[in-house]
Amino acid sequence: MKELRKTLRVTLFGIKNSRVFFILMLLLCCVFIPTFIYLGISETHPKLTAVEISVVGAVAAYAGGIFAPVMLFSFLHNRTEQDLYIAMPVKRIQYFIGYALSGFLMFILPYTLMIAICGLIPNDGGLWQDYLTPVGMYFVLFSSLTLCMTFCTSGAGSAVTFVLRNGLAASLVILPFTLANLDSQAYFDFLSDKILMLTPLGTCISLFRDYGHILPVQLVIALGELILSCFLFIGRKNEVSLALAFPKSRYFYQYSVLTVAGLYITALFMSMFGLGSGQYYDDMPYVVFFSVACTFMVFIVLNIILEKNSKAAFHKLRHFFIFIAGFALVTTSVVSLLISLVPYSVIPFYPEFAVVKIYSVERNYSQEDIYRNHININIYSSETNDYIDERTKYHAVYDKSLIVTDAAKLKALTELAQKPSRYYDNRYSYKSLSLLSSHLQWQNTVLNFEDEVPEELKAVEITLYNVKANFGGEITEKALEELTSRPFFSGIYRQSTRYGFGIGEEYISGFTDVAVK
Amino acid sequence: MIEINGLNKYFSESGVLSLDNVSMTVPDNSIVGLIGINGAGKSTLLRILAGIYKQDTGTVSVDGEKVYENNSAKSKIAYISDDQYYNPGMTMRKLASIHASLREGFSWEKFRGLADRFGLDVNKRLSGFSKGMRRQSDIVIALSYGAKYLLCDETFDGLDPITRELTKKIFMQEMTDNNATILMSSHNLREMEDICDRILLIDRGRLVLSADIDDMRGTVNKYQLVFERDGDNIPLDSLKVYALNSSGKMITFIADGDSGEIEAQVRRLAAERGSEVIYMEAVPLSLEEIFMYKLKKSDIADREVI
Repeated sequence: MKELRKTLRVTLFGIKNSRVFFILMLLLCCVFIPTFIYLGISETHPKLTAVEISVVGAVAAYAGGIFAPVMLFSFLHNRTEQDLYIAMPVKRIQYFIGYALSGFLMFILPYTLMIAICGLIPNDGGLWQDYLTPVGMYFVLFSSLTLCMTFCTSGAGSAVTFVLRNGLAASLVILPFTLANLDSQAYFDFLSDKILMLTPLGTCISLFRDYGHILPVQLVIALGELILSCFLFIGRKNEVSLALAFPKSRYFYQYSVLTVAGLYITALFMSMFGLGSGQYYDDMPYVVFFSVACTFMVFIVLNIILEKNSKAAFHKLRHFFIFIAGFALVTTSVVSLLISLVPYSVIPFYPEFAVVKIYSVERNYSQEDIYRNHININIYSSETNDYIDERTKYHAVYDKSLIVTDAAKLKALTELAQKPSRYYDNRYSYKSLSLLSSHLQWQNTVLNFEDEVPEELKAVEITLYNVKANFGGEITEKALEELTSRPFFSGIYRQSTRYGFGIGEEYISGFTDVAVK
Repeated sequence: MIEINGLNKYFSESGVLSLDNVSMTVPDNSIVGLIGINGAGKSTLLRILAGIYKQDTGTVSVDGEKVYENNSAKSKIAYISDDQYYNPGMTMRKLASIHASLREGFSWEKFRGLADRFGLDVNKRLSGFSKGMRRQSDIVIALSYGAKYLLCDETFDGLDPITRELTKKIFMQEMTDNNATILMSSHNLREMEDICDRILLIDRGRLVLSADIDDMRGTVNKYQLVFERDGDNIPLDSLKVYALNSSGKMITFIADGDSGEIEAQVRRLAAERGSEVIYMEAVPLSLEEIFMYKLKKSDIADREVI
C-alpha cells in the first residue's frame, strides 16, 4: 500500500513537473479546439458530427503523444537531473509506472473535458462513440516515443530512433519494389495497411483511411514497446553519459541507423533515376556513389549526435569505410542474387497481381470531348541502346492496362528482378513485353487497336482477383465491386487519374471497357 | 552504520576499474572524510552509497539494509552531488519542492531556518546564484530532510572561508542534535583536518588508508637525527619509513609508528653499527603532509601529486 501511494505520488509529481505541457493540453482541448469547432460549424454546417470530434481528438492525440514522453523522460538525458531523481527514495519501477500514468492522465483528462465541452455545441450526437480511438492513438505514440527516450540518452538520439522506427517499414517496402521495378504507387497502396500497422505515425492515417484493423494491432505492438521501455528504464545504467543506455549496443545502433539510411537512400536514388522520373539512368556506380555520399553525411550527423561533440564528426572513419564496403557488397550482390534465386511466391511484399501498365498518357486536347489520350510507350532496348518500338506513339486510344496472368507475371517479374533494365518512361521492360508477346500473342494487337476490341483479344481470358472475364466480355456489377474494393486495383485506378483520364465512375467504366469489358 | 564489503565497480565504457575491492565501515554519529586525487573513485563510491550506481560485486548497506533500489535505506540518505542539478529558471524554493514531493520528512521549517542562516533568498532564481550560493542551497535542501546519513561530494568546493566555517558548524550541530553521520569527500585536507573524526584515503579505486585523525597525527612524524659518525650505513628497513634523506652525519626521515619505540630502535641500530645518536627530534606532520607520504607509499609518488 505504501509503495502504491508512492507511485501515485510520483504520478502527481510527473504532472506537476510537466505542468507547462499539461496547461497547453488543457488550453488546446478545452479552449482552442472547442472555439475552432464552434466558429467552424457556424460558417459551414450547422451541427458538429462524431467524425469531426474524432478528427480533432486525433490532432490532440498527436500533439500529446509526441510531446508528453519527451517532457516526462527527458531527465534521463541529463546526468545531474538523473542523479537527483535516482538518489531519491523512489524505485525505478515506481518512476516508470508513475510517469506513464501521468502521461496518460495528461491526455485523457483534457481530451475528456474537450468532448464534454464540445457536447455543449449543437451536434448530431454520438460524440462519445469513438472516444477510445484517439486514446488508442495516443497510447501508440506515447509508447513508441517512451521506448526511444528510454533507449537513448540524448533527445537527438531519441528523435533519430523514432524517425528510424517509422522509416524502417517504409525502407523495407521501397527497396524490394525498386529492385523488382514495380510501380511505386500501386505497391504502396497494396502495402499501405501493412506499413501502417508497423508505423506509430500511421495511426492518424488509419483513422482517415478506415483501416479499422490497424489500431488493434498497433495497440498490441505499443503495449510490447511500453513493457520493453519499462525493462530498459529499470536496467538503465546511470553512469553512462553518452548516447545510449547500453554502451555495448552503441555501435550496433549506429550501424543499424546507417544500414537503414543506406537502404533508404539507395532505394530512393534507384527509384528517382530508375523509375518514375522519366529519365534514363542505368549506371549503377553513380547510384552507389550517391548512396555512399548520403550515408556518409548520415554518419557525420550521427557522430555529432552520439558523441555530443562536433569534433567527433569523423570519429572512427575507418569503421565507416569497412561498413560501407560490406554494405555495398551485400546490397549489390547478395540481394540481387537472392531475388533472382528465390521463387517469386516467397519474396515478401510482392503484390498478388502484377500490372504492366501502358501509360505516360497525355491528353489529346483536340478530342477532349471523347476522353481520348495519347499513349507514349517508347520501348527502349538496353541491348541495342535504341528505341525499338515507337509505333504506338501518338496513337489515340483509351488508357488501358494489361493485366497479366500468373504465369506471365511470374516470368516477367523474375526477368525484371534478375536484370532490372530500365527503359524510357521507366514503366516497361522490353523483356517483359516480349514475354507477353510470346506468351499471349497480343502485344501488337493491344498497342495498335483503337476503338474496337480485336477478335484475337476477345479470346484471351483475364483473371483479376476472383473475377474472370474475356477481354471485351461483360462483367457483373458485383464483380466490378469486387475489383474496385481491392487496394491494388484502386491504386492503379488512382494513379491513372493523375493523367487526367477521368474521375469517378466515368473512369471505372472507361477502364473496364478496355480491360475487362 | 554504513558497511561496505568487497565493493567493485568497473566502467565498461571507459575501461576503468573505478573501485577495487573496497571494504570499510562508517560508524554512526561520526564525520568521515574521503580523500583521494582526481579519478581515485571517491565520487563513484558516494554515488553507489546514494543508490545511483549499482556495484558490480560486493555489498553496500545502511543499518543492515542494502541501498540499491531500496526506498527504506535511501530515505535515510541525503546526497549532495559535486555537480548538483539546477534548472536556471528555477527558484531555490522550487528545487526544494521537487525534493519535498518525492521525499517524506522534508521540513520546510528547517529549510527556511537554514536558508536564513546562510542568508539565501529562497524565492530568487538559481541562475542568479553564484556557484558557492548554489552549493549552499544544496546543503540547505539536503539537511532539510533530517536524513541520518549525509553524503557530501566536494561540498566545500566554491565556498568562501566564512561560509565554510558556518557549514562546518552546521554539520557539527546536525551530528550533535540529530545523530547524523556525515561522509564527505574533498581534496582539501586542511578542511577535513578540523572537522573529521576519521579519514579514508582512496587511490586508484583502492582504500589505502583508514584511520582516526588523532591516531594519524600521533603516529606519523618527521625525525631529524645527527649521528656521531656517518649515518648512511645504518639500516632503517625495519621501520615503516615513508621518506629518507641522508646527508653525512645528518638524517631526516618520516616514519609511521610510536615515536618512543622508533627512537629506541634507531639508537639500537646505530649502536650495532658502532655509532651513536647525538641529537634526535620528532616533528609532528600536518595531515596534508601525512596524506602526501601515504600516497607515495601507495606507489603514486612518481606523479608528483601534491
